[in-house]
Parts: sequence; C-alpha cells; structure tokens
Amino acid sequence: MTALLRAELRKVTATLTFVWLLLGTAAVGVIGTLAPLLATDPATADLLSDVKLQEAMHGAAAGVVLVVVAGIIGMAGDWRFGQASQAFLATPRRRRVVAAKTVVFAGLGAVYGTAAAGAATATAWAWYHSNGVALPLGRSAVWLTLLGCIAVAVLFGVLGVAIGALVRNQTVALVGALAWMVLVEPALFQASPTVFRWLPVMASFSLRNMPGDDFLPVGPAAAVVLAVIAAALAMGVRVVERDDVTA
Amino acid sequence: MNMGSQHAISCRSLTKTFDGPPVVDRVSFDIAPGSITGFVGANGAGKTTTMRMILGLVTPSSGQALVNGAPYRELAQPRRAVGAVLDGPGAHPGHTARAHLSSLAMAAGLPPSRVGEVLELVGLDGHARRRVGAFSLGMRQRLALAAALLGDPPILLLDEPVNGLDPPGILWMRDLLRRFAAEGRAVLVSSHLLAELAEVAERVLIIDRGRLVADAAMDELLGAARRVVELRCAEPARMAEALRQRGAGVGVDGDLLVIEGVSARQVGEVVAAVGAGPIYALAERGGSFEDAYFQLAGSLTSPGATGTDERSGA
Repeated sequence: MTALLRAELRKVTATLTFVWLLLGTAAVGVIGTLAPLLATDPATADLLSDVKLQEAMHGAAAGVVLVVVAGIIGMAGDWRFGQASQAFLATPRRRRVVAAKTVVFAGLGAVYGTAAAGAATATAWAWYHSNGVALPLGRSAVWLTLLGCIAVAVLFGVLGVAIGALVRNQTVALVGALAWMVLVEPALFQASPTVFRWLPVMASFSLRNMPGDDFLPVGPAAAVVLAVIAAALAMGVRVVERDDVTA
Repeated sequence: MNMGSQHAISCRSLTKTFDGPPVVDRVSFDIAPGSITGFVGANGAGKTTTMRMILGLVTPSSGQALVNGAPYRELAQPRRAVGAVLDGPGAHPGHTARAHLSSLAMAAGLPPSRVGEVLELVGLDGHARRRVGAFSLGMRQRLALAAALLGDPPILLLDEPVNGLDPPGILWMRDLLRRFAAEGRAVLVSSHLLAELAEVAERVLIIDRGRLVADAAMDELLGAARRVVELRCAEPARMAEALRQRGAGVGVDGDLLVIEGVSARQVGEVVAAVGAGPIYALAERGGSFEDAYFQLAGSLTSPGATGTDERSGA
C-alpha cells in the first residue's frame, strides 16, 4: 500500500494542476474571510464576539469546492488519458487504487485546508490590526472554526475521489458536482432550510462553524457528511471494481 | 525472468458480450513461452477485447483467461509477470516520460533504476524530461513499450505496437520482438499489418467477428494458402471458358485471368491447345499471408455490426 500511495503522490506532484488548485483554494479563502469583514462597520460592531469571529474565519473554507475538484480530477482524470488501465495493470485489485487515492486526496485536502486557514488567519489578523484590535487566536471561536474548515477540506478531498469513481466522465463529474454544491443545495436550502439543512454541503457549513440558526448542530451535521461520503465512496468502489476498462 | 512450465497464456471459451452479438465468441488458445504469436483481425474483430480480458481489464461474460495458470487479477506481481501495450502509453499529457514511468514503477514496487533502463531500451532516454503531450505517435508507442518492459516480464501482450512507427521504428520493433522471443518470452502481438506480422510471428491466431477462425503455425498457413496463376493473353474470354471446362477456378479482372487449381505449365498447354495465344504474361504466384488471411477471414474491413471493440480501441 505504501508503494501505491507514493505512486499516487508522484502523479499528483507531476503536474501543476494541483498547485494552481491549492493557490485557488487559499485565494478564495482570503476573499471568503475578507468579504464579511469589509461589510462590517468597526465602529458599531462587536469585533470580538464569537459570531463575528466565526463569520470571518469560516470563510477559510469558501474555496473548499476546489478540493472536490482536485479529488475528481485525481480519480476521474485517470479514465480520461488511459491511466486507469495502467493503474489496474499494476494493481488489479482496483479497490486498492481507490483506497490509495482516498488517502492521498484526504491528505491533499488537509494541505489545502491548512493553507486556506493560514491565508484566512493572516487576512483577518491584518484587518483586525488595521482597526486597532488584536485577533484573539486563542479563542475557540477562531481555532475551532479553522479546524472545522480543515476537517471539511479533508472530507471534501475524499468526496471528490468518490464522485470521480462514480462518474468516469471527468467533465460531467466536475460540472455536476460544482452545480450541485454551488447552485442546487444553496437554492434548496433557501427554499426550505429546515428540510434541506440535511443535505451534505449545508451540513458541512455547521462543521466549519458558519453562524446561523438554521444549520444542523455539529454532531448530526458530521454524521450526515460522513454518511454521504462513505456511501458515495462505497458505490464508487463498486463501480470501479465492476466496470470494464475499455480505454 | 521467471518462466513457468505451464502455458504463459491460456484462454478457454473466452466470450464477451456487451450489447448485441458477442464481441468475442468462445475463443480458446494457448501461448507458449519463447514464441511470437500474431493476433490478426479486422478492426472490431475482437482482438483488443480479448487482450483486455486476458489482462483483467474487461470481465469475460463466460470462459476464462489465465496467465501463468492464474487469472490476471490474482497475480501477486502482475507487472513482473506481464507487460502490455494497449492503445497508447496511458499517460497524462502533462507528465514527463520519466514521471509517468516513475509512478508506474512505484506502484509496481519496482526499483527506480528500471525507469532509466527502459527509456534507454526504447530509445527515449534523450526525451525523459519532455512532456508526453509533446510526443509524436511513434514516441508514444515507444513509451508504451517502455512501460510494458518496466517489470522485465516473461510475457508481453502488444496491441498494434507498430502503429505510428516510421519504417526504421518498425524494423527496430521487429528486431526487438525477435530478441524477446529469443530470450524465452511469450509474445502475443496484434496487428492488421499482415506483411509485418508474417515477418516476425511463428504462429498466427486469426479472429473474425469475435470467433477464432485459425490457430496455426505461420509456415502451415502459408503452405495452405492457395497458389494462383495469372495470365494475360489475346483471347481471355475463350481461355477462361476452356479452363473452366477443365475444372479450374477462374477469376477475370479486365484482361487478367486469375486461375486456381492448375499449374502455369498446364495453363500454357491449354492456351496452345485452344489457340488463345499469344501469351502476354504468365506467372505463378505463391500463397501469401494475405491470401491465407482473406481465405479464412474474408476481409480486413470492420464487421461494423459489432462496434464494441471500436469502443475498446481495437
């Protein structure tokens, strides 16, 4: 398994795609952090309240959709250029290939999440400093939010692999996942928060401490996200094991 | 190399059906170590699907394919047992040749030194740091072969390996295949370039519309191929009639008669007897691999009805 992990890591580092996605995740994290802060009037707002801190710091996970993109490219991309044939010739027990990708992209999610959290923290620190306030890094509202953002990035890396395993066509997988995450779930949630807060992306907002009364508590939210990812991954493994590799 | 005593490859009633009629229909054959076996058929005849079933990439609908006595998926170190060239190198175009082979070597638990060795063997050592997307078709084929050779396997399955190679490349591939066989490796090589296969293969499998229509030594096949006499004379119609009356098969192509079942000498005697001369051309042509193939398989054009093998890149 170690050899397989090294091989998958070698593939990830052999192109700049994943570097660009890392930079993108961090950049969106900065924007996600800065946007609510710029909308705040420092003269009237309580900058050190838990809600205000969470509102700023959860933006670190604003680019987490790009971690899903990375996972999809890592898995579905193998079908695109015939790499799947090569992978399964070396490792005929295909679930081991999916397992290796799962570990690698969970790790990549951790790297992306940490980078985004770092960028978000620096951004928030600079904004608070410019307003004469020190960002209270020791407060749980800050570090728990950042940890939640990193955890979501890890989980979404795995989700990307699961989607890529389920849907072999990379373009379809990417467009479908992005549309669902950015358009469908938010629209459904707007329509009926109490029902659609159970959807996985909305549940992940709870994990990253996004303030809001309509979101699930952290425990059930974590259960929803984990269950959805586990189910998608199990189905993806089944598809990969079963399907003929004809290209 | 680890050579077993059993067949290197063994297929028994191998059948694959996607949608519609079988793409591969009850195909059985064995491949022995130390031999080059040609696998011939039209596009869509079932060559690639058969190879992919042997390699565990496509699941047979029925029957089985064994490599060294075991299904490919059960091989402990498959890259050390079998090398395969399938439809290009299977590399990301953004990867360099070295990065591509390194990741394959790592996955197979092979030493990194093998990457440089196989790049040199296929003549790509000067292009190791070039991106695969910038490779010509011939270079991509060489890279695919390099990947197949990473594990120094005793069995090689090569699907159309000379596609995209220039004439020197084809000569190089021919020498390489002969060297592999001399080293005791079993080589199954598919191609629709019949003349090319006739140069290297000792044995031929001919597949047509999914069914194996011939499994024979190349020499036997060439011996069995019909010999024909070609004749141009002043009275071709009269001559054709006279030959048919004597039981010969006659094909007419303009003023050229293609005659089966009699020798050139007998044809000359008939011309003299019926007064169909003068003779402008008379030649006896030996049976070629092409003749044998067309006799057995009918044509090299795609069957069309199957089409599934097209999907698999056959």
